[in-house]
Amino acid sequence: MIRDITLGQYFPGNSVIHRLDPRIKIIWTFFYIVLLFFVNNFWGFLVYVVFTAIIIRLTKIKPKLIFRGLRPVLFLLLFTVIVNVFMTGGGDVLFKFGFLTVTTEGLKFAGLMAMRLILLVTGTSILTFTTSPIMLTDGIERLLSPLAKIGVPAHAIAMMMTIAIRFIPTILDETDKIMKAQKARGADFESGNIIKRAKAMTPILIPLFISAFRRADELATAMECRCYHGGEGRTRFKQLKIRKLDIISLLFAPLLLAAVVATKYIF
Amino acid sequence: MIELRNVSFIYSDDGPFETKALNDISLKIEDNGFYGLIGHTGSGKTTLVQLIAGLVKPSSGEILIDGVNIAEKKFKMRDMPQRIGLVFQYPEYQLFEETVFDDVAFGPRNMGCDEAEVRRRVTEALQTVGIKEKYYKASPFELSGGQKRRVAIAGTISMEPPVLILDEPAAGLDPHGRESILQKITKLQKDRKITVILVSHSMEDIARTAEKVIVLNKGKLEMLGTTREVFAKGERLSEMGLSIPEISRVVLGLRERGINIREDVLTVDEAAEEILKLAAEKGLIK
Repeated sequence: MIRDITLGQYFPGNSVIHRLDPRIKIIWTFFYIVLLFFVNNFWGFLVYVVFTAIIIRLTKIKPKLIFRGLRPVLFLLLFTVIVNVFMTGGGDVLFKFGFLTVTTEGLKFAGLMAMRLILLVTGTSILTFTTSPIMLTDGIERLLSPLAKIGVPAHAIAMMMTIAIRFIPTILDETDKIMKAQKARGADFESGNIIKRAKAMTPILIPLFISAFRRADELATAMECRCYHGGEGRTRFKQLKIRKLDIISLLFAPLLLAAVVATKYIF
Repeated sequence: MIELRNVSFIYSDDGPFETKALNDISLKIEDNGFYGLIGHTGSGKTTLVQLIAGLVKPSSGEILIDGVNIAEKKFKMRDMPQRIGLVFQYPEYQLFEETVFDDVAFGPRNMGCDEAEVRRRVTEALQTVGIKEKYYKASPFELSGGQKRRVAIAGTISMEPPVLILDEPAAGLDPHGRESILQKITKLQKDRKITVILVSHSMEDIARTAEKVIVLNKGKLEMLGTTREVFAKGERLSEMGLSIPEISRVVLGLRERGINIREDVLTVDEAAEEILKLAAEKGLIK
């Protein structure tokens, strides 16, 4: 169960996509998401699927690994499809089952919604799969830096994100260990109703919280010992630079936009 | 008795990270024995003890506990023929109850003991690890590090398992705490006639306590023999990146210099005796 979580997972590599500047990748991802919500017909989705497939191919990561990121949202996906199938009116009625009606429009809409969700998750996971957490937060910090002038703590936000992402695997490991330890003491997480199961989580959650606080405290001390005092005057070892590759990648954005807009008018 | 037959364990993250933690391990652990389990970091010690405790299932092979194969897919922990107590590394991080008493009672209560029985077990377990009665109602989080460790170990002892596995029970404790925990475990093993498997990096601790030693190297069973037999193979152990007890190194050094001292000496006292005997033979002392 715990192993399914791929959030923040990074697959090291040296593909074109890996080498892109994180800022460009973040902007691209935003553009990808926003544009995705304008797509509302089959041909538009076809353009998107082809585009996403090409990007996945370019990352040189096994597609299987990328689609594994869909597992945690499977329930949401099913839920969306079912709700949309039954709740959307219009079109020809295919069949009636009590108060539930399935129409052609409903099926079509559910299909589009499912497509949209799958593309959304796949597209955004490409960002985290190909960008190391450090690069990602560096990118976010740089993108937010203009806002620092109006008082947005860009550096603090980025630092908190870096730390949070960094500790996801650590905490998962710890959860696994504590679960096993309590199991060895006869704890039962699998049987009983929801309330009983929720109560059975206490022996996991309390030690987990305690160690999270302890770790945070130790980390804060360790950072202070190394003279950390926020972002002011801090220089970096790796400077972000926009290169030719990044500019070229941006040229594809209007192309995608044009293709999507075209599908709206042509078909 | 615990018997492992051709047990392998693969961490399959079905990605680029597949690693073989254990490779074709076959061994027998006799009842009432005191076993030491040693091996370099990443040699598979922790995986091995988790397999024996039934917390994870092997990728292949059989694990027989009193003849029942717990490696089978259908097998449920609840049907374990006899409980195997496993104390994890740094067990104090698993404390969660409001009082010391309740935390130690967690195991027995899960086993379905009635309150009188729970009380007896908890009191006995806490006495075994040397926690005084005035702490029973204290919060486990108020205790010192060494006390927390002992309470956590009591949490497993209170289940009265016939097999007790301890993963580095003395790690991170001061010499005094170390000594006291090891003594208590040794005493418990003798008094209750249980099987103990002690996982440790400290060869001194193993040499002092264990009767038999299991050596793992890169997921494979390298040696299984009496403590004397194993530590007599100092060279082989060094090759695996394991140290041998300091006194064994002294003995090895003496032998290299042509002094014919017995090579399976384990403790400082034994070594002193042997050296004195040799010296007397040579007429150096009377």
